Amino acid sequence: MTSFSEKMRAFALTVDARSKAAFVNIASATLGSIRDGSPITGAPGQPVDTGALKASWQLSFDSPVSARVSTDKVYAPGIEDGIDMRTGKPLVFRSTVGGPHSVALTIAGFNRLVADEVSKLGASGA
Amino acid sequence: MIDFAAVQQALSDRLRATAGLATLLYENAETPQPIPQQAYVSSAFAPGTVTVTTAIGPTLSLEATGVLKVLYHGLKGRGAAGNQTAVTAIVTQFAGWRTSLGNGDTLRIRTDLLPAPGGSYEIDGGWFVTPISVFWLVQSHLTTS
Repeated sequence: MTSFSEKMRAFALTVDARSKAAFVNIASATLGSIRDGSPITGAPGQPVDTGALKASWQLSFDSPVSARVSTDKVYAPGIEDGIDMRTGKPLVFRSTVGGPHSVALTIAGFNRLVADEVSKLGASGA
Repeated sequence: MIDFAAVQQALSDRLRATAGLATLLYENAETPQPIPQQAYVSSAFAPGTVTVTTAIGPTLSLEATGVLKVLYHGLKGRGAAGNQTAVTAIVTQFAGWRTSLGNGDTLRIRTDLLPAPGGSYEIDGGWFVTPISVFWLVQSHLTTS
């Protein structure tokens, strides 16, 4: 017969596992929204010319409770803001995919992204 | 349904009414060309997604979120601090603001994501660009038959 303390320990382990799964999935979904676009946030994702910008977006985990989505491309701010960083003119996007403001729209829709990932875990856990 | 054109117009009007803003507004158009050594502002309206928050009988409550990306093109050489007054004025202009649109919808600036300047960067032409993300939310109602 399972004791109460054993049940509590099992429950705590389940909660911990679900929390970690949710965190990793939310971080991955954030990267996906910025890089590839998302119908949940409305982010268009990165436009593609050579594919270098899209490939440069990375997800890293600084700690068990901190994740970072980043790119090292110096022109990424211009793509995000829709501005030609040489001329100051608005960018004209020729790519058939992606567009500007993916980071901002991902931030704006982050609550929905979280809700979606948590719902995917379901009631019984990952 | 949500009238995104009205949302964009309301946000644009609010931006234009910012006290002490640079006199030249350059609204994402190819012309007129920005005048060298003249600070200016551009903006881009980016709607996100629409969700149904509640459904009571035939009435649906809708919520739409998105971003107004304001770019303050300050003068290069003054750095972020030198352009701070105008950037702060824009942030202040939007913080906590709400209004009713012509169709009765409520537009408000989100309080969980405050308007805030992002990292500044220099561009050719003598400008120092500071992006400001203004996160907005619209609440609307739709009655289905």
